[in-house]
Amino acid sequence: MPLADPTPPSSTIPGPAANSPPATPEPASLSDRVDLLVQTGSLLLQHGADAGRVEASLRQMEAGLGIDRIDAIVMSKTILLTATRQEAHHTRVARVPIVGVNMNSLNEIEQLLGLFQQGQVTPEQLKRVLNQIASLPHHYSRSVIVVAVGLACAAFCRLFGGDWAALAITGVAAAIAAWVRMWLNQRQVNYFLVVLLTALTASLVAGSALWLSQTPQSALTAAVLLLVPGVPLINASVDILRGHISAGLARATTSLVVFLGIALGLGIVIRLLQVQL
Amino acid sequence: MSGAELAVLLIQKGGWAAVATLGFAVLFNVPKYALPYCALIGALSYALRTALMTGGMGLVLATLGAALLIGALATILAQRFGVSGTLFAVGPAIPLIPGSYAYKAVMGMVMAANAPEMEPGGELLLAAFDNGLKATLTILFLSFGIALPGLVWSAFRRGGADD
Repeated sequence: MPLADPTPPSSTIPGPAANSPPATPEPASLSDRVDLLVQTGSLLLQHGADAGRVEASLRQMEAGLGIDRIDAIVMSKTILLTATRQEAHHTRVARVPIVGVNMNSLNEIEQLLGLFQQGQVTPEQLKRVLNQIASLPHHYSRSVIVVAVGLACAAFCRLFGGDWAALAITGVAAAIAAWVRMWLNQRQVNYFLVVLLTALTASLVAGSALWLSQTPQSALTAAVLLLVPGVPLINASVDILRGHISAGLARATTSLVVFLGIALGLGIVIRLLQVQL
Repeated sequence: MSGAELAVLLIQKGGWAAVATLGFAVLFNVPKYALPYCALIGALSYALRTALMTGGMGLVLATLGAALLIGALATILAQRFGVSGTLFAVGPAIPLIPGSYAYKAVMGMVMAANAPEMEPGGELLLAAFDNGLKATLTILFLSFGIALPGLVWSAFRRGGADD
């Protein structure tokens, strides 16, 4: 929770503003309002919302900001937005850095927007709380995440019929790979390189299953699964199904490139160790 | 396969799927209170897909069934907690993604491209295409199945209460 307020889940909201009338928003400058819209949209997009969800959230803010009409185009990493108020209009193009899926932030922002729509939050408070949400720390520490990813891939190994030795090796390999991926991401390395190096790490470590396990294939297959771009893939089809074709195709292409990176990393190790998958 | 054997298989698969779901839910920063629900949905949906496939259904349609279950449960929980259903749906969706098909497809294409000439039966290309088709349709049906219950619910509610 952004504010130190004990009552979840809608605790982001300070009390005294609840009586401000939503019908008469003060005429703040249109460019400030557009800034706020772009900030909201960027936060949603960079934490893993699909294009339709971002557009719906922006439209939710129209009335509360005293804007007559919002036209937005949401791409996979860009938001184009024009707000119209009477005769005036203002346009901004924002490039959005993708930081990774963060369900907690998405959830907080959606609840905040719901309250904003009901008029329980002023635009100024909205801006303040958005900044707080943007700087929220991850719920789980890096070590917890590394262990969780290791366990998840170990479970996949078991689902693929691996024995206990393969399961343990997969867990270690995926955990090391998860750590390597975080380390590389922090250094802003190109995403394809991140995938390739992480896949190489995971499959090199998992390759030890050749000597220690009866089912080395399951370990090699499962250890790289942490790289499967699950949320981008689902967002890609949701975008395409809802008619956001270009955003969806961009996400699908990115996912395809990620799969290419996984296959390349795994393929190199398989060649080195001369395994049959 | 007898009923008892099937039950043991489903419980085992469901249990491991729950572990995988939890791991990815933590990676996606799902709040702690939602984690047990995610694990439960992950276990149920994976067990449902395994059951449907054991009953002779193909991967694509079995995944659609499992995805509809995820979508329905996530929509119910979303109403109860007043949050977006995605919170409960993202983790359980991951074990259902046919990752191995997808990269078998990509790997097959790389191998086919790397071969000096096409082999007589075109086996490599066919296998790559088959894997790619299964992966693509499974992912499409997965996301469609997850989204559908929420869409139906909001349409139904808008028609009823206008809010």
